[in-house]
This record gives sequence, C-alpha cells and structure tokens, in this order.
Amino acid sequence: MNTKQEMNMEDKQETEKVINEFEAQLRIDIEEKDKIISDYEITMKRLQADFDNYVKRTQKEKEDFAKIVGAKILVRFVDIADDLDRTLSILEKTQDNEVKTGIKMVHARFSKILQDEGIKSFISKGKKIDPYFHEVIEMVPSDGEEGLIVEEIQKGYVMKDHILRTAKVKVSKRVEKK
Amino acid sequence: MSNKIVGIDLGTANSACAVLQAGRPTIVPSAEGASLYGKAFPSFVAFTKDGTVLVGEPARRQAVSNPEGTVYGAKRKMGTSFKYHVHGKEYSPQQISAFILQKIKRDAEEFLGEKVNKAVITVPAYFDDNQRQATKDAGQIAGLEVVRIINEPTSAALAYGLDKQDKDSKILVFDLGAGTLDVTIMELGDGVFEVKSTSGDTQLGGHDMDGAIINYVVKEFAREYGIDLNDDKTAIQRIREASEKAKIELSTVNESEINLPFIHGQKNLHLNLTRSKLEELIDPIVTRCKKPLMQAIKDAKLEPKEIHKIILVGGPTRMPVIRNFVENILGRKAERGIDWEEKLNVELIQWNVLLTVLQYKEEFFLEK
Repeated sequence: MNTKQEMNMEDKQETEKVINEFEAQLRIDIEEKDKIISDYEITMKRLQADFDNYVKRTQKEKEDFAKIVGAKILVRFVDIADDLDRTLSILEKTQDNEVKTGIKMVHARFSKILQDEGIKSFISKGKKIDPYFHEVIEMVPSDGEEGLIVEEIQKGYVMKDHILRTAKVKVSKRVEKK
Repeated sequence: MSNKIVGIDLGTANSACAVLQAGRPTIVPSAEGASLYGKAFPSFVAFTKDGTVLVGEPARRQAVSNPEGTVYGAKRKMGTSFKYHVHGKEYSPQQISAFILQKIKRDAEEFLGEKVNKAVITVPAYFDDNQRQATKDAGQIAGLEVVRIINEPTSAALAYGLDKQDKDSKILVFDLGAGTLDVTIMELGDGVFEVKSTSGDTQLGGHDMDGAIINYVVKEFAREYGIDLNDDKTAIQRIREASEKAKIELSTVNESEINLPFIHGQKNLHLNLTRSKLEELIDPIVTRCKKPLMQAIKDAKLEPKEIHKIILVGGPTRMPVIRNFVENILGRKAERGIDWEEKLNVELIQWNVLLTVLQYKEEFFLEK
C-alpha cells in the first residue's frame, strides 16, 4: 500500500468517525427533542382535558349564574318578608283600619314579587324534621310524638327546586307523663 | 385513571376543598351549598335512628335534635384510641373523619365531572406522627390516596409565596378561626419550613366575639325596656344573625346599624354599633390572644423583633383591631393581600391557602 492509499484510508476512517460521532450526537439530540415533545404532549393533553372540563363547567356556571345571583339578592329580601309578616301580626291588634289595609297591601305586593320569582315559603309546623329543609334550634318537651316540628322560629323558603333558606325550628322531645 | 389532586382542609368545625382547574385554583362547593353560598363542609357526621348517615350541613342542622347520634370535632381525637359509641356501634375518629372526606370526594367528583382519587390534606403543626398517620388512614378509608400531609401554617406561608424568598427568615403564623387560635413560628431555610414552636387556645375565636356582641345588644334592650330577651330563642336567633353581620361589616366601615323590628311584641330593637364600641366589647378576647402569642415567641427562643414575617389567617384576623394587636406586639406589619382572594370571593383564607399549595406544588406531588 502506498502512502497515498494509506492517507485515503486514514481520511476515510476519520470521516467515518466524525459521521458516527455526529450520528450519535444526533440520536441524543433527537431523544432529547422526543422527550421534550412527549412532555409537551402530556402537558397539552392535560391542559386540553382541563380546558374541556373548564368549558363544560363555564357553560353550566353561565346557566346557573343569573339564578344564583338572583337568589343571593332574593334571600336578603326574604328577611324583609319576615319583618312584614311580623308587622301584619302586630297590626291585627290595632284598630286603625286604614293603616291596617295599607300595610296589608304592601305585604301583598311584596309577596307577589317573591311569587313571580318562584319563591315561596314552606310550612314546617307539624311535620317530621328533615335536615335538608330544617335546622333544629331547640327541643321542646312534649307528651306527643318525638321529632315533630312544634314551632317555626324562622320560616323556610324555596326558589323553584332550590332551598333558598332552611327553616329554623323547635322540635318535640318526648317526655313521659308522670 | 384520573390524576386530579384535591386539597383538603380537614378542620375541627368546618372542612374545605380546592382543586386546580386549567391552572387556576377553584373551590369545590358542597352539594347543599352549591346553589347559593358554596360554603365549606361542616365537620359533622350524624347517624339517625333509621340508619341514615348524614354528613356536613344536614348533619349540623339536626345536631340539636339528635345529640347522641351526632359527632363533631373528631379532629381533636385523631391519633388517640378514643371511640365514639353511636346507636350500639363503635367508630374511631379516623372513621368519622373518613365520612367527611368521602362526602368531600363525592361532591368534588360531582363538581369536576371526573373521578378524584388523590388528596393533599392539611393538619395543625402540632400534630404528632400518630395524628398525621390517623389523618392518612382516614383518607385511605375514604378511598383517597393521601399524597401529602402539609402543616396548616406551612400552607399559609406557601400561599403568600414565602418559600420563594432568597434569604432565610422567621415566620409567625397567627391563625384565629371561629373557635380556636393557633400560633406557629417557623424558620424558612433553603425553601424548607421548620416549625420552631406552636401555641394556642382551643376555646378562643370569632364565636366568642359574636357572644360578646349578643350580650351587649341584649343588655341594651333590657336597659331601655326592662325586658330580658335571653329566654326568647327567636329573638336571640335574630340578634345572633344581625350581630355577626354587623361584626363583619365593621371591618370595613366605622358604624353599623342593627335594626330588628318587633323583636319582642310591639317593641323594636334599634342600635348603632360603632367600631370603637365593638373593639371595647371584644377587648377581653383580644387580650386573651396575647398569652399564646408570647408563649410561641418564648418557646422559639426569640425576641418579637426577630420575627421577619407575620401571616394572619382566619376570618376574625380581618378585623383591624386584631391586625393592629399582632402588629403592635411584633413591631412590624403583617403580610397583605393575596390578589386572587377578592376575585374568588371566598370566606376563609384557609381555602386560598390550599389552592396555592396546589398551584405551586402540583408537579411535586405528582412525582411522589
């Protein structure tokens, strides 16, 4: 083998070595890029799933929003309805018929607004306690059946199919007669 | 399988849950509160005579009529061998807590529309290994893999981003809730929080303040009309609600009116409550906070001036008088405002705390 051929061979080996190193580096680079892509893919899928849920929930929230905001305001009006109820019961004892009629009209107008918004009070007295509708404030001794609502401390209200305000009640506690 | 992690504040009186949604922290409302308030889950479990198990708000509502069947405050018994005996059956505190966690899991799944299998739960800094293990066990009984137990004050510090500070610091967390005060001093070094001391009072909080206002209102009414309203449950109930509203309002305004028409027969209750009067009424309660606060500082072998950061947690700490009290003793301002607090319009800062833990640490939890 002459010197020229030897040099060609060395060149070739050198070139192959460079190519191999380059290829190895490329593989490492590709692996790294694959890893990055895979990480992005996982992140993207997670964000996509989160986003899909978010869209669904936003849609539902949008539908509920007006209802909830309305209810938040209306539940405060219900307190005024309580006050008007008290006013009426006090008025029954007065003799001034004009004032009595006037206040009754105010009460009726207010009740109409609540009714138009789908709000109505529910009767608790005489019923069995249901913790989804009633909150027990006190137990009252009774020789009758136990667990019956004997008095409403605060009336309960529903708005369409939602509980707007639970009733606060006194419940019977059976005490045997001596 | 879903990888969704929820954060749960398993509290003595109330529990709360939060989750990350598209990178944003979101509060999980309880099923009963979803329509209106989205409030926390009362930590109540009730067993009725007909075999129904009630958890959360419904259990709280019937507690007065079913005292022997209602369990609350199980957190105080966690990690002990205490057993609740209800209608001939025996329940460990872990089992009771598991009912609450199960309810939270169910409501979270309903809210998210997907399965929830993993949770981060916060516990007081003073919880020992037994109490922490019991909390984990409760999670497991409820079908949740508890990926992390975090100290409540640590999560508060994380919420304020204090782990991102460059320099080491000493942090005091003053957590005044509805019924308890917890004071914790932690040292932050290399992003790790080390608890230096804990102190507190298990019988001190916002409810005591409400009680002080109610007493004052009842006394004022008796002074004017000579009528004692204490025996009138209906009147007291109305005064209680009005007092709580006035207390909250007085954190932002200087005067609040309590108007309760026909509180007793034809008699009306009208009272102007000023912030300074409120502060006078609750002064004994504020003063009671001093001992645990000083004890924590002493136990950490520090001087008040050596505390670098103050974090206030809990509803009552929104009152200027509480904030000023802590700031005056420690001679520095407390950390302020988490910007999304207002946006979320949540009642308890503790919820935010959880949210932020998740926000910062979700990746970390996923690796575990």
